[in-house]
Amino acid sequence: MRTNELYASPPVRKFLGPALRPGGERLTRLMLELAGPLQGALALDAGCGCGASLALLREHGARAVGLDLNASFLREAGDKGARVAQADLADLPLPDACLDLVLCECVWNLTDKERVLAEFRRVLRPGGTLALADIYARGCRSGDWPVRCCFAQATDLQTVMEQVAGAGFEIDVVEEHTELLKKTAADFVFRHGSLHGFWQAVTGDPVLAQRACDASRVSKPGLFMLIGHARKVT
Amino acid sequence: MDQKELRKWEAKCIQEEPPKCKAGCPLGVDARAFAQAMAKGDPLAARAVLEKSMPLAAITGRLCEAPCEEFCVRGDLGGAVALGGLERLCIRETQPKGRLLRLPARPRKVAVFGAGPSSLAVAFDLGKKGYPVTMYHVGEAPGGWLRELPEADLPTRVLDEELSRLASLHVTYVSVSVLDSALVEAHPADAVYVGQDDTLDSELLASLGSPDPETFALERPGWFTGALEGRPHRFISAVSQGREAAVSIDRYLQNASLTSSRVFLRKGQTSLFTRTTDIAPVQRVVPADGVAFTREEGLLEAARCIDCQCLECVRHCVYLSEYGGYPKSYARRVFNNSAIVKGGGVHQANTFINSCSLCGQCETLCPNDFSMADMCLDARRLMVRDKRMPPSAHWFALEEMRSAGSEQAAFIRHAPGAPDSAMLFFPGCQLSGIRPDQTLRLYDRLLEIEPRTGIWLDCCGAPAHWAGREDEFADMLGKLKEAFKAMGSPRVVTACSTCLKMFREHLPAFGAESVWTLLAGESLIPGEAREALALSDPCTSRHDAATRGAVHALLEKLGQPLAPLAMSGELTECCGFGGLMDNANPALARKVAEARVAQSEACFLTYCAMCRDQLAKTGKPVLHILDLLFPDLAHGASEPPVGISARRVNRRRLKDALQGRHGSEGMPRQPFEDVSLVYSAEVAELLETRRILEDDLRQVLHKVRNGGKCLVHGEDGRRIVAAELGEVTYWVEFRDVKDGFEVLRAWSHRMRIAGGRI
Amino acid sequence: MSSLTFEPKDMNWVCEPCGEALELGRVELTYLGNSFHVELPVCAKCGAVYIYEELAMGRIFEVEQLLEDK
Repeated sequence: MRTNELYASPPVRKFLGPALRPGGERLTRLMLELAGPLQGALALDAGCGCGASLALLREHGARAVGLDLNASFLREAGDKGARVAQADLADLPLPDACLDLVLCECVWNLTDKERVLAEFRRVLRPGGTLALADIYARGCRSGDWPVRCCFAQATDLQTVMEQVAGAGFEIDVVEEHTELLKKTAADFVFRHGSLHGFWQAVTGDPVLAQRACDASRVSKPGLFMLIGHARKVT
Repeated sequence: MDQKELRKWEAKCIQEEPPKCKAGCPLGVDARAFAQAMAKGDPLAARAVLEKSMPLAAITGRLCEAPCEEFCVRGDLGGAVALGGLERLCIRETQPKGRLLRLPARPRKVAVFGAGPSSLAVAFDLGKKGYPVTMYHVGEAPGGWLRELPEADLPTRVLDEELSRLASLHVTYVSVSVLDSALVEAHPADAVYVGQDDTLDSELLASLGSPDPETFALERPGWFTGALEGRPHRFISAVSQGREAAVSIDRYLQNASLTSSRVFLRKGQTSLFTRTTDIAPVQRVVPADGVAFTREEGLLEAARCIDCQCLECVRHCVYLSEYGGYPKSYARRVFNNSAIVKGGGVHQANTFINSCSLCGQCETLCPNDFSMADMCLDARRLMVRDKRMPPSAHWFALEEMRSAGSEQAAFIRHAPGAPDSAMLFFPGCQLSGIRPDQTLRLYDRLLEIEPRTGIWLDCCGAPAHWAGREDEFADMLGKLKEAFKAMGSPRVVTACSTCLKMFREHLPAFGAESVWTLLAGESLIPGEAREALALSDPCTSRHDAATRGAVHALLEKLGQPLAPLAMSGELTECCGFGGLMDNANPALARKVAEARVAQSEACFLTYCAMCRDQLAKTGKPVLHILDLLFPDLAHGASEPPVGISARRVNRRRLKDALQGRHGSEGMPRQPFEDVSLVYSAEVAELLETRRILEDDLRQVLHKVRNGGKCLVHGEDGRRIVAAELGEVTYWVEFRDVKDGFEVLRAWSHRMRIAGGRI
Repeated sequence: MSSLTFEPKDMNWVCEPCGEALELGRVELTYLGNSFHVELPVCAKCGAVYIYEELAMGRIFEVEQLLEDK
């Protein structure tokens, strides 16, 4: 029984390629468009993986650094010349109020979510931008996921917004991009026969695969994108 | 649905309201969860529930006077659950949690005078938040009158252990000789609490004055007091008042309002409703030694907890219990699905929203009239309006509706030879589709009563309405209205409760009435003696007591006894057809039908065509009232439901028969109609499951006859042909046989081939 | 992304009236604004596509349901 994280599993990596998330570059570009002026901004890609978004940030003129827990991903990113380091997002090795932008794509659900939001708030200067994208649960329950993945900790969108606002952010935009997730899922289904087949390839176990299918059906994953800014303290 | 609407819906569902015990607890302990854990023999989990809300649970759990018992719903059914006794059992069986988490010290300090239970509660609550607390006490050690309690009630060891745990926070104990005003003035702090459940100097006590009864703030800014004389319970009220004071102090020290957005004690107030009619009284367990519960006694006593929930609607509705939630959580789900955000054009057909039968039972059962029907129908309309409802969601039912209203099946005429109509008989598309013979007979019966009765075959538009297609529904209503006017606006008589509801709500000018009401007024020959039948009222008759009454009168005249059926009349259940449930979620509709037929051993009886066939799908014998009214045309109770293709054919035949009465020829045949088909019973079932009509097959095969492209098998000569019919592409594998085709397989899909090459 | 290939167990079908046997060819399938590039049996001459039963009732149906968000 393999318990690899979903995003590191062979079927997913092979299919999604260098950008380890559904929607790939398209979603990142959408987020950066809404994130405001990036020229000269000091930006953090929280959970930078192999550095795909770091390149995009630099393209927009930002001074970008990346943090991730996964050493081999970081090596790949470093090889491409990106400024990266290994760190736990719940304990950022950064001083208070030093950043203009925090970008966090499909990583948040894998962490201690509230602590990480608090850290994001801490390291952003007042008015700094948070660009967050991840899975949310459109169904009525979160489902019982047998693998560690971005779906397991997904909550409904209302809770997401409450958590972000509660961490000291003003929410500017929330957008729904489940169609990107669905397209990815549909491509997987064509390739692997069914969602069950996909989960079987990931987990290596038909029983776990069935549990993952059930969980997916119950939680009905969606994809959201949120842009907010750090509320100035009164 | 926007946020405001969400709140409105959420407010109606009381499922999340606290049970009476929790509402009556001055500390807000979830006594229900506590009792449930104890009933499962899990004192650790039970202790965790206590620790969540109780300060210094090891002490509080031992001494709490359990005011919650006063509110316990079990009180009238054998005596309140002995929550106090269970608390003590739980505390005896478990250990306190480990170390308390010590937060970094906050800059502002608190001075607590007195060390009785209320002061300990203040020190605990504020200490946990990181406030440095200095507690001034008389005597060697803090605890006040707690030290004087017998060992059996509160062992000294336990008290001291809790005090040392408390000291691990930023709590310091200072022993003084007397607690008087001089002491207090000598030790200023950012906030002061004076606990009146310790030996205070009388002058100090007098100088305090009366605090605010809810915030426990004194007039002097930053001063608070608690454990007031005359409090209801010596111990727990002191603790509770201390807690409330601590909340106030925390707010005060953060310069926040003491009252805004604050939830004060409920004192037993809750709107959670629990039905107790089916609960048998069970007497309280009395401990054998007269003092304390043994583990076994505790299990028995905790098992008496009713586990108060509302869930009235969920208890009775297969759909609501299927999704594992309750209306409040469903409202959130619908909210998440519809509004909030700008989308990327995703189609969010939610089976959940489309599976509600819109039958209205929940609204009738809910103490607050929560209506899943209103909520789901609104959501469907929104999805259609925003173009987020995918095409296949209600496709088949909508096609049925359109076909019933098409030239092939629709028909409106005065009685043969009559110049006008006093009334118009509208049997409805489903009755025409499954019982054309009985429909014709019913029409003849009406002609006997009133010779100037016209006939009107069409669909009332209910599928469009249920699917949330407001525009299409409005169009249909418009056409119906025109046709009605063209006939001289006679009264409309329906044989279907759904048609009746649609007309009464949307076309009141029709003056629609039920055919059963008409027939109940006529004389009837009692039928032959028959065993009692379980009468299932169609869900659309829920609020139509008059029609239901007429049906009962009819049945009485017929001498037909009825078997009892619990959920009847206003509380009736949908068969699974309503709201297009069977279309959107056939598996659920099947479950619903099965649950319904399981409610009585007797053969079922209904006066709705959809109910008849939907319930008969389960294999249960079901009669339609027309089987009783026209015994010579009766269909067997165990007759299987009519297939989808047969329904189309029946409607055409009915129109042909009626047209024949007017001396007209049948309708012009469509070119593909004479394609002759044969297939095995196995294939017949396949077609039914895949909702492939014979007409669909004919249209596809017609393409072959006209020299269209097809595939031929290299060896055995089987052929395959495909055609796009509207949104769906159909494939047929077949063999040529004499004069026609033998269908071997058939399948369909919606996905298109770019360039359309098939 | 490489195209996905779908082949029925029995490929022994001939397109009428072209007379050509089926072979695998590139096809674009679309539904609800999404498109998928796959390889399916097609007639080499006229391009007619064969969507066999197992594919239609299997993967295609699942993908349709997924995109419709059922």
